[in-house]
Amino acid sequence: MNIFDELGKVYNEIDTTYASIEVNARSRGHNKKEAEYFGKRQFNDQAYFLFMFTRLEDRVRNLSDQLIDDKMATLTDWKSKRSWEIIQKQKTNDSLHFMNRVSLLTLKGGTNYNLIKQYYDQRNNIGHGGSFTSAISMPTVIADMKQLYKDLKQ
Amino acid sequence: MTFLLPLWNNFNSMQQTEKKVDKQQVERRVRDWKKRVSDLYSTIKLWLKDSEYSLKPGAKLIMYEELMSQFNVPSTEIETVDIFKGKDFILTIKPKGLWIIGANGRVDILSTKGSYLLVDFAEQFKTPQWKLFNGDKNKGVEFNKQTFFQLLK
Repeated sequence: MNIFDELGKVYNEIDTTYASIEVNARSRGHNKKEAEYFGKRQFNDQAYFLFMFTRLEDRVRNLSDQLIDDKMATLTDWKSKRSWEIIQKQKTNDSLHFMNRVSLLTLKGGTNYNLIKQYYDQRNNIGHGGSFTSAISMPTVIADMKQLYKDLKQ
Repeated sequence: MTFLLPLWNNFNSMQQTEKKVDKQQVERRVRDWKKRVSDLYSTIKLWLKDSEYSLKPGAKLIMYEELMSQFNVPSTEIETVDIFKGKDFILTIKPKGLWIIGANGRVDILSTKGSYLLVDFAEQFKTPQWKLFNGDKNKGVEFNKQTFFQLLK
């Protein structure tokens, strides 16, 4: 079982517990409690989404670091190496933007890139406490994260 | 310049896609979402006909998502329904959100036995393709009369 399946399992256990309380509250007409657990489930969605996204972030960071190090170690021709020197400098001072790291690993504007961008925007929205957060379909997130994790290559 | 063309075309088409989103488009999607949800309830009501179960409207939810705010589209109410077996409450169906990544809306089905997600994987404004997910399955199943009745048992 990979990390996304494991996280998904724990997420489901919590969601099922909260959903059960929410539905019991609804059946008894306890509107306040129903709304409270509706909100708690939303927080659970967001928390586990963020947790999963950090796993993908690590993957992007590790693969892009490896790629940059490999290029710097193997390229000898200055014309080929010059752009990698700039990228390496950004990597060293931690100014290499996450989506630029992604574009080192997959075609910019391609399906995987655009999907990661959507999730990255959502992560920022949640992480920075935006007033609105999109609903999350966790089965879709888990499937996407697994696929992206596998597809991303040096 | 030739080597830049694919990238440029891609960038251009992404910009065009973004340009398509305007207030009218958001209003149209909200109307479409409410209709899909309403149609879903009508279908379920048909499935329940002549059975021991009945469908009753529940408290409405306020729908006000980020794009609605961005384009000054006012909040709106969206229906929920409850399913009963005689007088006994069995489950509730609540729309959760229209704008979700990788799909075209999510509806929650909450029963005393567990929670399920209904996710529409159809393209925008196309006939809904509802898939049913339960907590333990990553792969959804088609939402039809048979899979729905399994939730009631």
